Amino acid sequence: MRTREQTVNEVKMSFSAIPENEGFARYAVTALLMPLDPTVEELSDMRTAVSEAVTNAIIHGYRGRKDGEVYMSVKTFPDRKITVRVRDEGCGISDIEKAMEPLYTTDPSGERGGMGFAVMKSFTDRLTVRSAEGKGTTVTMTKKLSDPDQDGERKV
Amino acid sequence: MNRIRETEDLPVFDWDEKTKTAVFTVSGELDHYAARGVREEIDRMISRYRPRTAVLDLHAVSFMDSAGIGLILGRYDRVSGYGGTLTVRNPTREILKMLNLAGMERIIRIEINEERKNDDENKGANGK
Repeated sequence: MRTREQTVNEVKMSFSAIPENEGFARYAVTALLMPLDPTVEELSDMRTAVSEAVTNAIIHGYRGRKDGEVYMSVKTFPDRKITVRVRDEGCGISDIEKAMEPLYTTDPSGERGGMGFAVMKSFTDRLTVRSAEGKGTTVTMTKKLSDPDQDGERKV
Repeated sequence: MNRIRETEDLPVFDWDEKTKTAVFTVSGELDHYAARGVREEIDRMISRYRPRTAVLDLHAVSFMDSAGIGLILGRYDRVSGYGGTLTVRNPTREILKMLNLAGMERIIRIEINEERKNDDENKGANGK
């Protein structure tokens, strides 16, 4: 039997699926990660990945419907691994592989470039996407922060 | 008005008539929420002035995700559509990482002022 990995901290939240909350989600993740003393780059990577995931949930998952809700949870582990999960109960993705191709977009007029998954993938260590049509999408991103006494610019 | 977030930082516009150069200094957080207002303002000025060179100065942008890539590509299409050129100036290190991921250096001129480069290097050396 696999033992459950012990967490140091876990925070769960949900918020309205409106674009104003893209910023909120970034600030929330920043606030949770700051005590871990990440490098400037690690923090920026996570903020960016979270921003992409939440934007996707709002504009693709709920397609602009304002009554949707985005669920976000952040877990930190003793080995400085962090996991962010972003879930929506929107339309789901019919072809995940295709959605993850860089530059693929269902909305070419939106000028968003179809880069969301490419960013999440390259700015984190691991990205998993689970989706069911009509039920919603869950994106899970994991990143291990470097040791605090390792090199790298860190905010005080 | 019922705005939850006040990121209505519109780009600052500078026009040089002699060289027909427009410089847009963008600031604040450039995500999908903010990109729309920034895009509308830039497009308004581009249609009015039709700059030979349009410059997007990003040094004051504190955050940018792929919405910023969309914004840059869209302006590139618009400006090159009538024969102008687009330059991205002074992206921060974080933004440069995003630009590289999108392969932007292959199609758009990216300019980093020496002054800023030195600033960044000094920051790196003293950082921690």
